[in-house]
Amino acid sequence: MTLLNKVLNQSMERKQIKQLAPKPADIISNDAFYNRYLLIMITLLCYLKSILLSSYLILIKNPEFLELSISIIQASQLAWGFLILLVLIIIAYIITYGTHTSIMYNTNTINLLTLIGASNNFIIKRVIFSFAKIGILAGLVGSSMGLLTILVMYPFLRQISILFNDNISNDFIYDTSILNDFAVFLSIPIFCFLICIISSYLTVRKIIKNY
Amino acid sequence: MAINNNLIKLENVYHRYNITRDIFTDISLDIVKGGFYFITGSSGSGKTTLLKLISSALSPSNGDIFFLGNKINQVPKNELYKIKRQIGFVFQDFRLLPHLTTYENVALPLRVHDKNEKDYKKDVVELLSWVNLEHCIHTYPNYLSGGEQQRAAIARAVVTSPKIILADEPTGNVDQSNSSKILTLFQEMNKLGTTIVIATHDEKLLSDINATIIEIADKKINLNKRK
Repeated sequence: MTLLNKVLNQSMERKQIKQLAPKPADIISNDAFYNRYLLIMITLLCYLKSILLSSYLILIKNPEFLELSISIIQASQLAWGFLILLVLIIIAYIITYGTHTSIMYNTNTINLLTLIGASNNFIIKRVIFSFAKIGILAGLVGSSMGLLTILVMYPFLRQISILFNDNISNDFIYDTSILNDFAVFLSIPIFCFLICIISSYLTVRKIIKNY
Repeated sequence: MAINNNLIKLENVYHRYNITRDIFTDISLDIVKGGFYFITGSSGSGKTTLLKLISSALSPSNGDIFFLGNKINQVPKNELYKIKRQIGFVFQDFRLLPHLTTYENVALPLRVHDKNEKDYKKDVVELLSWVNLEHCIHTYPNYLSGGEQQRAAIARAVVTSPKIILADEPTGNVDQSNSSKILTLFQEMNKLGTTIVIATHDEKLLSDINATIIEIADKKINLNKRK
């Protein structure tokens, strides 16, 4: 009984603290359920993109690949390029859809903001800011996951390469994949951030004219 | 040379929502600086529409609306926010943002006007004590009573020192005691020179205050001055 009271009191105290000392909030709420799904989906897409980019970089540095005919090299480069572009388009589409959802979810807030004298730019900035945060976070988490995957797969990749290439140096995989993967690791959050900003800006600018 | 005392002027205004529904036909109205106005009329007569027209939230189907001598119809849509910044709004349903605290809700128009928090923090706290909400500065709107929420909404409307306050049924969701408190706040603001326009069908409010009554009937408006 005493333990139950103690737990209940602690819970009440926590509630009161939360009520009395809140953290500063954004005007456009971005802790809605759809934002979490959006973050998960974009993170997975960034992960896929990092794997695609890393595998592409491994492939083009592979001596066996370079020995293939130019047309086959070009075709495979095109295929990789198309896959990476497709992932970027999907991210842009998801952000556009997410911006629509965000504006619908925050209609009352946006209506209130326009009534109290918010300029279109003020609203646009607030909406873009929430998606920029999602973009950079998803990019960082996705590319970190990709980097981890490559690091974990490194011994297997090395074994497979040695199996297929008798004269390959031991440092080959390290030189071509790990270092390049750091470049991929840095580029993905930047790309994702830019795509999120551009897609949400174009969408919100179009919608906000009707408010 | 006569001094123009008009804050808002409606000239031969027509408004319709669709082809079959006329709300106003040929109405003209002068709202003078420092005046106290009540808009009355039956439900659906167009009280809220008139407030929206005054606030430039709606454009008239025909006719002209002037704000401080400037024709609102000629102001580009992306510049209308400059006019709206001179108007304070109070709504029947309060419209406080649930994810912001009372303080953040009241300070919202100042944030929107790109003011620095250091400059306004003290003023907002003082304003909250003026509306007797100093005890719930960090409380979220869902934890406030109806009267407290409406007082917070009034504080939000006056925080930018607007030239005019438009209130749509401000006492519609509160009890009699809170209704009197809210009315007192409006009277105090009016004494300081703010023009007040309240849309209501609360007869008690109309009898308590000396004000100009704008009565909407049959798509027209009639003015009655009470002294």
